[in-house]
Amino acid sequence: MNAIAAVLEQLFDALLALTLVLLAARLLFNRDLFASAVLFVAFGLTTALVWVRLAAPDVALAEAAVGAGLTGALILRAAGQMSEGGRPVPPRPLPVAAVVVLAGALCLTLLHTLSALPWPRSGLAAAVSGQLGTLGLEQPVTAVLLVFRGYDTWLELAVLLATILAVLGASPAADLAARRIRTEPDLLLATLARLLLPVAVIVAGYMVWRGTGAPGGAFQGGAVLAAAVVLGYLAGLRPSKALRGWRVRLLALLGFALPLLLTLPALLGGRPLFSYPSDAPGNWIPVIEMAIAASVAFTLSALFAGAEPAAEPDDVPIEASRSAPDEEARPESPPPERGS
Amino acid sequence: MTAQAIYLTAALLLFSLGLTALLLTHHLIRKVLALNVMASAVFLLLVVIGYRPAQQPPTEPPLEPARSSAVTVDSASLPPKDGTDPVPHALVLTGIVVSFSASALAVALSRRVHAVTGEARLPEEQA
Repeated sequence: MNAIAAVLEQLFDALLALTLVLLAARLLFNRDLFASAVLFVAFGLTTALVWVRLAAPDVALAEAAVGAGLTGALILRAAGQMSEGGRPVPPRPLPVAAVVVLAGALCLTLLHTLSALPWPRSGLAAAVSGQLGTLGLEQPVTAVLLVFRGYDTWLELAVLLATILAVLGASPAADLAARRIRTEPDLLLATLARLLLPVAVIVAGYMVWRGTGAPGGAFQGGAVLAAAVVLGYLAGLRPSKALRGWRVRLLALLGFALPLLLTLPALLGGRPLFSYPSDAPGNWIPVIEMAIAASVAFTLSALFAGAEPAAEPDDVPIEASRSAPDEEARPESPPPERGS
Repeated sequence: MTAQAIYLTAALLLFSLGLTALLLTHHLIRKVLALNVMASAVFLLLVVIGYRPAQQPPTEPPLEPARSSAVTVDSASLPPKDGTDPVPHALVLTGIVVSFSASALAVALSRRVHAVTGEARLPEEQA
């Protein structure tokens, strides 16, 4: 019985890995860019399934929300608005052959290197689980992120801050409110967003709240909240008029600085950065998690909005290529509102 | 073939496919897609390195704990995850978020190139 179950599990693993590789090959070497973007979402969801198989439910939640959801929406919109313009570049046979041969050689070299590693590796699982009891935490991933490597987690927020400043600077209009997330009025999407938004907010809050004891936590909850905001954008909500100039930068900076402010008591008490009161660290961690979740939610949704083109008069032709057939199909639909 | 070997091979294939596509395609959004596939391959490798199959002979499929944890409130019902290394999971978790922010920056720059030149590829690759 056990032998049959083991064989079936291996078969499932092999099929899952094969699906992943075939999806990747198809999405990378497909003629239609929009189809590639749709396949990328499928690729992200399949990857989330792989994380579940590899006993990494925390990663699966983040992959489903960020890898498939947010990145998928980002790429789908960009693919829809940036058609493959210009003359197609004829493939030159010699470079193609050289790249394929070299990539194959790299694959074999990596295989050789990785198979030389000692398997199974000992890892840090025992060290982490030995510390969990004294911390009052049940979730090892949360403990690693917020207690053992709190500094690295904070530096990740620094990466997010740097990226949002770069994204805002990549466009002539540095205001988030100037980003026009142009959508066509869609009753189905608007109704769906109205139904899903409250649920998404509750799910995000639950993930953060349960993060100390179950798969979930600040990053997953923040990502779900960001995905809810992005869904609102796509359903026709606009970035708030209040998000002008210095306010966006202040919010981004606050998301970065909030964990630092929360660790001030520890610093003033002579303890290291991002350490917790030794008697009850479990009480402090939800506070830090909520701060990080709010920061992640703001930054990820702002990154999505910031990657949209600014509302310039000269960017109209970008949209025209894809939206034209849709407007022909529904001539009575009102035109997308501009600048309201 | 163990689960580790299967997913290790998949990670290597994904990385090579992504690298090939990154070098051979011209459309900037396709390059972003290729980078994302390569990132997924690296994440897969990290999680496989941290993966430890359950020690006991009656192996629980990992799908069941993940599903039950979403339903039950009692955290004591969660299986102990002593075998699997949580450090790579934390690395991949932050990596996924950083990968999205890198993609957003790349898309923003690609859109800028498209708005300025009218083409969705780099000027060097006009051929």
